[in-house]
Formats: sequence, structure tokens, C-alpha cells
Amino acid sequence: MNIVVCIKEIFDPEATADSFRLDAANKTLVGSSKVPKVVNPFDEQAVEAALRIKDKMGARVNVLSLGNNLDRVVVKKPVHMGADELFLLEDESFLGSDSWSAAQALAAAIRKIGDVDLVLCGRQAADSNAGQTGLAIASFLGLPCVTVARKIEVSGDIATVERVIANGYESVEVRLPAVVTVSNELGQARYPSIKNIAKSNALKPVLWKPADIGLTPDICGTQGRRLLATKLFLPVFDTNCEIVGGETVQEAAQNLAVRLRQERIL
Amino acid sequence: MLDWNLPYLTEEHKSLVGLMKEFCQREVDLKKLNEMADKPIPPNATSADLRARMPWDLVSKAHDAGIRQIAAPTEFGGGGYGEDHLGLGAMAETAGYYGGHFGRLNTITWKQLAAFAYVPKELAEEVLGDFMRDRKTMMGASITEPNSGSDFLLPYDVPGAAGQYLAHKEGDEWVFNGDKMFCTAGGVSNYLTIMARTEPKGPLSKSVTQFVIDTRLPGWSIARVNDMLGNEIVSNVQMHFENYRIPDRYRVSPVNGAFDVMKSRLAGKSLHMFAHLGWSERTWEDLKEYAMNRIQGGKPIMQHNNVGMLIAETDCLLRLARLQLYHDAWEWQSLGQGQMRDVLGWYYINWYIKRVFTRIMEAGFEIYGGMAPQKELTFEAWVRLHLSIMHGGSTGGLSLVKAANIIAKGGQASPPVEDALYES
Repeated sequence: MNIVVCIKEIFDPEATADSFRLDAANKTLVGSSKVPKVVNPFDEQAVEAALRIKDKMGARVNVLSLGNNLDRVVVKKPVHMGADELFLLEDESFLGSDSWSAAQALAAAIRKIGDVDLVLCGRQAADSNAGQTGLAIASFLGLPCVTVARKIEVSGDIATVERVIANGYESVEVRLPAVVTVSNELGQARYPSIKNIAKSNALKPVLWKPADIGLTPDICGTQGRRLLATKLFLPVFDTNCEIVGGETVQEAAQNLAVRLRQERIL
Repeated sequence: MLDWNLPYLTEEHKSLVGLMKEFCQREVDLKKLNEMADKPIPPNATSADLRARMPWDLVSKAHDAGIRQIAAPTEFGGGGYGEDHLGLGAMAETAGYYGGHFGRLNTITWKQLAAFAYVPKELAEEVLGDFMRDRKTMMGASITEPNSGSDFLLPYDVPGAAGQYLAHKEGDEWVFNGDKMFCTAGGVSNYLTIMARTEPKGPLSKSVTQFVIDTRLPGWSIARVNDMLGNEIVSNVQMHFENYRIPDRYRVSPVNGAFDVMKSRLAGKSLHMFAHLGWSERTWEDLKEYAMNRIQGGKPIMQHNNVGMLIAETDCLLRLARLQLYHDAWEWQSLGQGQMRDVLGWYYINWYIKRVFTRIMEAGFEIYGGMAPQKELTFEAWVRLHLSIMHGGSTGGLSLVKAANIIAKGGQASPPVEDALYES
């Protein structure tokens, strides 16, 4: 059983709003250098799903990520949890990816890893919350995709997936190879093991650039985007305080009612 | 939020920090820990009473995550980080920041576990084997005595002074009679390492032996519980030994040679400082948030010069204290204690960091005003703990006396006494 888990490095969702600056001209959000990066929490659950399969029936768990100058402390975390190998698509040209261009590169890397039975992704990234990458990877690879899984069991070449729906869950079967996106309902991911942390100094990730996976830089990252951001702005909430008075309490209440009516609130 | 872009820390250290942060965020209930520490201790509390105050569920989870035993040697099932002062320090700081009391809950045990890299293998196997199996015990240490508290280890090395004759040898056994005074976690630990004067008249540097004691053996008892202004969850007891006997294999150091062994070890007290630093940084952030949000005179009090200045001053003090601690840990780890360039480092840290915490306390009372002593703020719990450990690692003033002693000798420590004092 050969599993690939796709993970994304994001800014720590715990960071306060004042840790970020909005760059309206480039339509992007710039985080302060002090804001730590973390593995997207949904992706950690995808890693956990893979490790549960590994615990039960044995599997090789490969972790795949994309970006540039990826923080090794962050991207090695799945290995500290128990994954076997780390593949990094690292190049300047991968910067600014949207779901489309990221999925295109990840799919190309999965093809290169080869003989993959199961691809797992988080249901969405906690920064963009688009929830498109897993589906797009499946599309690029021509594989079936099951989304929002809370449990995955594999028997032979069939995966039985419980997927979260509005009023509970439904159980679906999918023939492998397939792509499954994992939701937080899977339950907490395991802690990294101290033993694995100590061992991982020796781990050298496999590094690939666009050419290594058969792509050219002009279809990666920003250049390969299909999503066009038209405007990025902070919503402005204006508040005005108006004291509605009156000679008596009753009169003040009447005036307030009239005022609310004028504003069509009542 | 702590900034981990410190040049002292490796990728591996940062991964350990990440683990500790995640563990604290998932498992530690700060409010509950503060309430547990605040619970009154009955005057005649027994070991069972003290154990009942402990958050064993949390301790057991820390054990399962490998955190509790991280400082023990790998051959006995530990994480093998006992000599990694920077790694343990960063983890302690993280635990203090995210977990308050949980910081020292770890460092008290880590400090002892690290020492087991040096004890005879047979003893380490026995004690650590037991510790690894039992997820509901701590491991503490004891030095002070009724007539020699924070001044147990004086810089003068006067014959017969300070710690008093506690143990003598009979055949293959050591027999203990007397008391140990302030023993953190003494009532909740199965094993403690203790410093015992075994030669009545000599100077301390040549008269003390280190042992491991098993608190379940006959002759050991709790003389009294030290009920303090700010109790720690692990509590603090005075231990009494009456014809308490342990075999010679429980001896850790050569007879009367405790200081010769200790000088090469990790600076345990500094780990406690890391934990307390973390909690202090969190306390400062809460203080800053309050100053940013509390409106007075039409603007946040942070914009009132007197308050803003206090926030900036304490930020500066904390940053310096942090750098001092990390630099000292780095020097210790990379050069080795005997090779340290700055032998005064620990003494100055022990004095300075307490000054910093006290200044934050003053600033807190200025800024929070009447809110400061309210138990709904974690500031109140932090203040009490700070006051109750002001003496730790010998008092700040005594540290300066020791430093002065070294300066007078031309800036060089003369082993083994000053080296051992580092450990005290």
C-alpha cells in the first residue's frame, strides 16, 4: 500500500490579526516574520488517516508539499508523526499558486512517485479555505475522489469511506487508486514522537523543481493561476452612536421607536 | 506569541518546542491547574493527601507523549535529551508560556532524570525502570536542612558549616537520621536525589555524598507540609529520616564526593528559570493586551505615557533575561561547564531574572490596579508562585556574594565548590 499525503504550510491560525499586513496592490496578505508557520490542521488529519491505515495493515506513507524555502520544522512534522518519506516541490516558480496550479504540480509529482494507491489531502486549507486542491489533483490524475472523510478503511483494492454530510455521514466505497480529502471529524492527529524527532535530523527530503516533474515554470505558481483576484480589502464597519432622548422615559422610548422605524429596523 | 527565531536553536529544538506547544494547547487547562495549586493543604497532610492534589491525568498523558521522560537516557526508555540544555530549556519555556504550572511540573522531574546518565547502571535500571512503568509518580530532589536552607551551599567552604551530618555507613547500608527542609515534590515522588553530609567536620566540598532515596522504605516520613504563599501543585514538604536505611548501591556519587560528580551536569535550576520565564512572558502579554484594551480618558491606557513606558520597560527586561538564559545554556552546552567563558553567568541570571520578574509584578500592580489581586486573572497565580520561589537556586543576593567571591579570585571559579554551587 503506497499512500501520498499532500500537506500545505500555512501561517499559524493562532496568530493575531495585527501580525499581518494587507498588500492591496498585490492582492495578498503579508505575515510578519515572527508569525510561525504550521502544517494546515486538516492536512495533519490526512496524515493521521494515512498512519491509521499504516498501523492496521502496513503502508508506506509519503508526504508531499509545495512552495519555496519551506520551513523544515513544519514540513517534517508528518515524519515526526510516523510518515516514511518527504517529497518537496521547492522553487520560486511555485510561489503564488492557486488551487489549480498547486494541484497540477502535486499531481505531476504523484505521477513521478509512481504506484500510488491512495492520495490523501485535508478537506481544505485553513488559510484560503478553498477546498479545491484535492478534487483538482483527482481530476489531473483521472482518479475518483471522495471528499470530507471522517473514516477510511481499506480492504484489497477497495476503500470504504465514511464522508461527513449535513445530518450525519454516508458510507461510500471507492476503487483504488483514489483521492480522499479528510475532515476534522476523523479525530485528533497523534503527537509527533520524540524518537522520530531525534531521528529526523538524518532525513533528507527529496527535492524536485518544475523540470523534475515534467513542468515548465510558466505554468506553475502565479503564472499558472486560473483564479483571478480582483480586489483584496479589509471590510470597514462604521459605527455611529446616536443618543435618542426625550423629556420623559416614555417620550424617549417613543422617539427611539420612531428612529428605528425610519432606519427600517422595526 | 514567542519568537523562536533564536540563533541558538536547531531545527530539532524547534520541533520539540512544537510538540510541547501542541501538547499544552490540547491537554493543559490553565484555570484548573491554578485551582489545584490553590487548594488548601490540610496541616497534617499525608503523602496520600498530597498525591490526591496532583493532576495525574495530565502527567500520564505527558508520559504517553514521551515528554515527562524526555531527559532520561535512551537506554532506559527516555528521550535522551538530558544533556541538551537548549532543547530542554526551550521546551520548559514553552511549557511555562502555554501551561503555567505545567512548566515546573516537568522541570522538577527532568532535572533529576538527566542526572541518571551518571549514576551506576544497576541503580539507573532499577529506579528508571520503576519510573517508566509508573505513570503516577514524580522525581524530586532535596538539599536544604532546618539549619541551612538557601544557605546550604555557602561560598566559604568552612569546615563543619552549613549542611549537617545526616548519614553514616553501617556495613553495606547507609543510615539516615535527621531532616531535609524544603523538598519540592517530596510528598509525591517515589524517588528523590538528596545531598547528605557524610563527613561531620570537613568543608562541605569534601563532605557531601549524593544518594537516591526511595520514599516507600521504612524510616522515611513527612515531618510537615510547607504550606506556602503560592503552593505548587507538587507541594513542598519537610522530610524526616529515622533510622532510614538504604543499600550502598543507592549511592550516586563517591563517598564525600558529590561535588566532583555534580560539576559536570546540567544546570537544573536554570531549567526552572526557563519555565518561569515562559509563564512570565505570557503574563506580560496578558498585561499588554489589558493595556491595549482598557480605555481611560478616551484612549487605551497603553497610550498613557506612564503605562506605555512600563510595558516597554518590562518587555525590554524580559527580552534581555531570555537572551541571557539562552546564551548561558548555549555556552554550557557547546563549550562544557569547565570551559565556560563566563563562569559568572548563572549567578547573574539567578539575581537578574528575579529582579525582572519582580519588576513585572510591580508593573502589573500599577497597570491592573485593583484588578491585580483578583483570582480571575492568571496574574494573581503567577505572582504567588513567583514570590514562593524567590529563594530558588539560592537567593539572588547570595548569588551576588558568590559572584563577588569569584571576581575577587580574578574571575575564575575554583572547582569543585563554585561549579557545584551552580547546580544548587
